[in-house]
Amino acid sequence: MVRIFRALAIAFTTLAAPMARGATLPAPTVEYSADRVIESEMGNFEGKVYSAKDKERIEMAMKGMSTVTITRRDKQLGWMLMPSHRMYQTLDLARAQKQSGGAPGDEVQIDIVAQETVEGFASTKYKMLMKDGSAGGFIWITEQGIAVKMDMLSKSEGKKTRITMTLKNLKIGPRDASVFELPSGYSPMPSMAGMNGFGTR
Amino acid sequence: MKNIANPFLIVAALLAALMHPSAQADCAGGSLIDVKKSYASAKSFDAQGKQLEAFNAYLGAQEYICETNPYEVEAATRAAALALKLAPAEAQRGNLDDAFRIYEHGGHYAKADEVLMMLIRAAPDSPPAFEKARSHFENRATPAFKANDAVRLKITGAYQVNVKHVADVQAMPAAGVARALKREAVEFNDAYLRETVQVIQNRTDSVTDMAATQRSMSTFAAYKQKWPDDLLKQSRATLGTLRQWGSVTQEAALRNTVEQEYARRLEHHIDALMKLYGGAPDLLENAIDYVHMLQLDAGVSKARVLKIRALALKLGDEAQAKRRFILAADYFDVAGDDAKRQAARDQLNKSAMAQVQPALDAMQKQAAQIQAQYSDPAKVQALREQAEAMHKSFEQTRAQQKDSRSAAALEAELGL
Repeated sequence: MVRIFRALAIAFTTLAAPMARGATLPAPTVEYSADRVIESEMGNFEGKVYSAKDKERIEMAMKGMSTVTITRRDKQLGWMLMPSHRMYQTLDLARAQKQSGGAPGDEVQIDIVAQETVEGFASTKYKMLMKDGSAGGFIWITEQGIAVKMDMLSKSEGKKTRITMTLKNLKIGPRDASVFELPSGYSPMPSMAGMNGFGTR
Repeated sequence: MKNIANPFLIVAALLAALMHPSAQADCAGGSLIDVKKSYASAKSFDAQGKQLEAFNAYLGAQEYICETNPYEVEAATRAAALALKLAPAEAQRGNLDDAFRIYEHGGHYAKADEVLMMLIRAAPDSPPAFEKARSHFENRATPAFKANDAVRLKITGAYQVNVKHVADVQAMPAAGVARALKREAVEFNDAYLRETVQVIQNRTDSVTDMAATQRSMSTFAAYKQKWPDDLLKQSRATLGTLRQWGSVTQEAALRNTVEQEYARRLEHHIDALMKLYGGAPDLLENAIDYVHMLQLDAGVSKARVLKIRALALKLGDEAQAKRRFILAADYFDVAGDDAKRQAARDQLNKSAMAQVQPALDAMQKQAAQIQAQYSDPAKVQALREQAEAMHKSFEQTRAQQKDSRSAAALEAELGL
């Protein structure tokens, strides 16, 4: 199960930093927002995504409790927000990348396989395979570099898990810059003595 | 050498005496010059329509001087006329004290009495108000009143004390005592005291038992809503008033009744607070306050207070033994034992830390895990979705899956 998420994570990361061998995954060239639907054998999950150059905001809600992740690659940091508690945790992207080892693209083979229309958008279909054969999938990216759909598979200990992600109600255009900022009135999560570092600050 | 200064000094002294004819050794009255000035000012104000200023200046012009005041009659006449305009206006504005003063100095004594009675009726439980009224009517009955105010009485007409007013004033102490006794019986309220003890006894010392804390807060909120006032403080204030009535009344029987009832109630309250309501340290503190109100000899009073403090110390020790540290600290506070009070507070802090520590440890561990996991944005994303997906799995069945394609089909397509 972990691997499928790893594959998804690599896909997301590769989108952000296109360093794959074979083909490269383009990064978004426009600002957009969309409803994001993740489908898996465990159920479907809906959320909202906002994207701008080097900035991303993902909102998820479960059982009435929402979480928001704002990633600011331009600042090499991110914020995990817990709106119900009006608290946040800062993520140090640079340190996290350093700790997670080499570039994710090193582990992935990426190839263009088709041109298809997904959710009304002309898209390029990429095939991604983990070089160790543990995971792979397809990703559809629009002309503007928006990953409008992913269909990923993971194999682990004989179990195969499939998960797809689709963007619906995709709206291209400038987003309100404030959605990528740490909202006022939030307090940092209390940090424990000696626990600083490890990607947080 | 001849001293030539003496003749000049004598002349100067004579001139001074001539210029101040009122400066006579046996007269403490004002001077003719002063009343003349006042009268001139009054006339001036009057001409400008400044009635209140004119009225006050006319009063100055009526001052007693050591000879016949040539302005007194005219000033009193005009002041009386102005008073009839000014006093009703003040009364209408609710300024009864001013209305009384203006009527009184304007020579309208019956009207002044009426206003005074209005003031008295508005303060039926005020011994000082009673004393003022009694003194007022006693003065009315003296020959000095008629002598001193002869000029004004001649202008405003004959005056007779209203006997009903006097009777009403004389009845004030008895009525005040009756009301005070009735009110105080309500203020020293057994239900209030019982519930005070319950609230204090049910107060939790636990800092981690949120349910118990919530219950304590709810109970206290309901208690404060039901009993918003400090009834024992009110009881003491009322007993103070009762005692004042006893001191101002001229009826010996009433005075004796008050003194006996005052002491009886204080003793009762001290006894009840110690025997029935000692469950609340603050109520024992109140018992000490009641002891002080007995105004006993210093030694006796101290012994009584020490008895209460000893009880508080004993109850504090019991509370401490039951690990009721907040309660114990409060008892030791009443007992005046600072060392024990501090020890109880230290124990409370220690206990609180012991209760909180496991939660702190768990939080720290959890925080470490979260931080380790959240150090990688990719993992953050993946783990979040993993967690969300796992939660969702309890809510949705596999039948809800929209993607009908199997993992096997995708595997074949990928060539994995």
